Amino acid sequence: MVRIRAQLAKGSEARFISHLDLVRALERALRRTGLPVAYSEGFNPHPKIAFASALPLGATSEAEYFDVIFSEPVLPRQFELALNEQLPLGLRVIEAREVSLRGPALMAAIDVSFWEVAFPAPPGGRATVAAAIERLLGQGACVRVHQAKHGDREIDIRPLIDQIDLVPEGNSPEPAAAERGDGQVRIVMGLAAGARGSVRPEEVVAALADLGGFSVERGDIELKRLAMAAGRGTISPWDV
Amino acid sequence: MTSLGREIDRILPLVTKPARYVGNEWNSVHKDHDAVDVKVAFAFPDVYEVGMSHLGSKILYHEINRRADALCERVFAPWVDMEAIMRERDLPLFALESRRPVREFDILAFTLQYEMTFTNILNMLSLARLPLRSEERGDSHPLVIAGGPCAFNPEPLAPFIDAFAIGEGEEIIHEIIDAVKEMKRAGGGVDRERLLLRLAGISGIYVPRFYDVDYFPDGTVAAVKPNRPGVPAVVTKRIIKDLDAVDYPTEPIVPYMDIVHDRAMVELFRGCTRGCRFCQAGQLYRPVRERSPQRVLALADRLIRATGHDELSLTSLASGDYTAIEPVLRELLAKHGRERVSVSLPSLRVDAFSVALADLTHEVRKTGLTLAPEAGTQRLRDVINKNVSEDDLIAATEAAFSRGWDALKFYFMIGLPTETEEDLDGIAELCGLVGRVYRRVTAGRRARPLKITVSVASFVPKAHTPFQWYGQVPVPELKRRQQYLGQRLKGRRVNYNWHDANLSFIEAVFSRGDRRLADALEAAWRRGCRFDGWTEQFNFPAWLEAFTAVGIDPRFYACRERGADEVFPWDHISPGVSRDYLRSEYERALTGMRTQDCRVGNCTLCEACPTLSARVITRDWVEAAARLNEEGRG
Repeated sequence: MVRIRAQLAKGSEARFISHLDLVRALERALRRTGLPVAYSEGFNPHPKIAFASALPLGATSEAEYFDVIFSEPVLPRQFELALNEQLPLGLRVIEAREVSLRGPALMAAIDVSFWEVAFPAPPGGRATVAAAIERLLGQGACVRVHQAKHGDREIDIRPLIDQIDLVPEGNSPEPAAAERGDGQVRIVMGLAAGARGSVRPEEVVAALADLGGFSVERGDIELKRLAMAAGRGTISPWDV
Repeated sequence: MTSLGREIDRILPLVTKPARYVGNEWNSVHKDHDAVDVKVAFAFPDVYEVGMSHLGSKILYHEINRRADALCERVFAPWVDMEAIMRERDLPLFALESRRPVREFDILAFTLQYEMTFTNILNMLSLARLPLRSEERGDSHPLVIAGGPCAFNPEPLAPFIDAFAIGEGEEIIHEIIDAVKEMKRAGGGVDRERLLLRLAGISGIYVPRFYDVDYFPDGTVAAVKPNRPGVPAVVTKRIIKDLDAVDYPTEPIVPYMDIVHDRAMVELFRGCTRGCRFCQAGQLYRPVRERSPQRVLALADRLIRATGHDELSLTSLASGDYTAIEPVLRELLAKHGRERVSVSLPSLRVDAFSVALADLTHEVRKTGLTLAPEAGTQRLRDVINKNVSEDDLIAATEAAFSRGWDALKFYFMIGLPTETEEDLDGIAELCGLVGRVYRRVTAGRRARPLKITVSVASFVPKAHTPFQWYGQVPVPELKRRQQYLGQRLKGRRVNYNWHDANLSFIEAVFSRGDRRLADALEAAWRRGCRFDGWTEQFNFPAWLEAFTAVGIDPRFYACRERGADEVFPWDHISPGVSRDYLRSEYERALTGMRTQDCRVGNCTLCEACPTLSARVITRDWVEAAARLNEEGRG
């Protein structure tokens, strides 16, 4: 048995594919490679694939991590090449490494997720957003109301926010900015993930908008996962 | 990306199941629009997960895209939430692959699988910003064509569609594309009228504007006649004579979403000659043509490799009737079982052999066994020529229960010709009988209680069937029978469900309707009707308003027993079977006489084989085929 960990990029072509659909697509792509994937026991056996975390619908990512268990030896490079040949447009394995079979599940270890969020600049421009960030980070608590099936639920998202930074204006990738037109504000944030609890990045943007007195339409938020880590940001997913 | 593509990305976060509109799935074909002569938008007038399950659409997508000079992209009906946003933001209907507006294509081709998708066709034309009616469209608009089973009575859609393709599409689609290509190449644009005349000359093409319909004062059709030379009086369907000789989509699109039939499909054969008198498919797809076992196995292999599916379905109208079903099934299981590919057999007969086949696949354990006796008494099963006896049923369920199954689903119809309360009692008694079989088989061992589901549809008479003369049982009486059956099933531990009778009524109106219904269809659509086949979207009051508004009594179409010699609005469209044969089958039905399958008994003189110049099916032929299959297996 071999456990291979992979870092997957999800581009804009695949960003509206849900987590469940992504897992199914990966299972099928793996079957097409013909590599000896290990299957779960039981009546309805499934390939042994385990993701670190689910990506919100609509987000792109440079850092989705998943583990696959193989019943026979497979080289990481062989895995990467074979799988990339079978992945649909918008999905690509960036890197793959063999990891210990005895190591913990990614999902249990990962506790921070780093995001880049872009949205149209509100009235007052970047300064408005900068002020909102400052207010949010300065607060001891930030209670948001979650609409759930069985009534609304209040949740304090402040402890789930490690950092929020406004990206300096000169730093935006030029071609993308040109395509989108001017007036984008970009922020980078580190948010809790996994067992620490989690908060959706859009929720943080909504909190910023409320504090800053502006509004952002959901379809106008561009969301990209940049990285994830364990040990409160100190341990790379490869070393978990 | 086009600017329309960017706009679509902006609205996708706002709709349910955005994967319906994404279109970058594995094996989807993306071609350069400037590098081909003819661009086809293939439209399935229902949501993605329904349309993507349809084999015929996969076949045509493949047929068109394998040409270097043409491309085919997919379009589905946007769900109501998507439609609302598209209209609000003024976005046109687009094709999934390129996200270009449907209006920019040369051909817009609809597949007609079900009458209750007709309002979606109007809705899609409107979202595509095309005039609804053929006569209002000009030379710059796409040619709007349609095919599929509902094209065998195309009349309710006649004013909206430029041309219908009748029958199987693998060859005719190329002839249509060639005609469009030649006209574009000749320069001076596409002259719509000339193109349609050219198409009307192709065997199997029906261009409604070239036919005039006359009516008698009582509203029945007097005659349907061509109104210009060179147009055939009767359009006969196209068939593929040798299934091994046509291409098959072995690299179909693998959807991201969980679609209705999420599996690889190999078509075993076309046609079915069992002769169930209510069944339209049984008449439309004659004669029976089988794929060779060698080809079935080869296709299965290629499909599994190219898709990564873990389930393979052997499809056809009655998979158990495939001559070499057992050897093929055993070989597939032996070969692909190791790769954890399961095999499923839809539409199995009610008999022990079928249960044994199902048992081989292990598939049934997951889903339970489904049987369709269709009627509750032997008398009524003889009327509909569903040749399933009580003994078959006992044998089938005995075989199933002794293999450990404890869930059973029954399909029945109510409102069949000559049905009485006794026949409804018969459904309840069958449930009791099956329960007794279960207790006998499981006696002495600890078994869970048997789970029986009874699903009851209301019978809808269809064009080109022996029951095309029959007046549908009116809705109040259908509802009374549904209730009566519910009473009889009470206390039997049966899970009973039934279909909306109002929906079956509207379906009956359109399945045997004429051109005048087009106004009612448009009026219903203008009142917001769409996705009528989806119970929660079906708006019966709006339909009744629409009929009233255009002065049409829908019962004239659904509930009227039609005269033996009445001209039908679909008489000029021929599936190959003769009207005399259908009439004699109707008369035999009313006297309870059965008719044997022509593969087992005598030729039934339906005339499909000679009309379509197909090889006549005889007992000799069946035996020879069986021998060949045996040899192929060895």
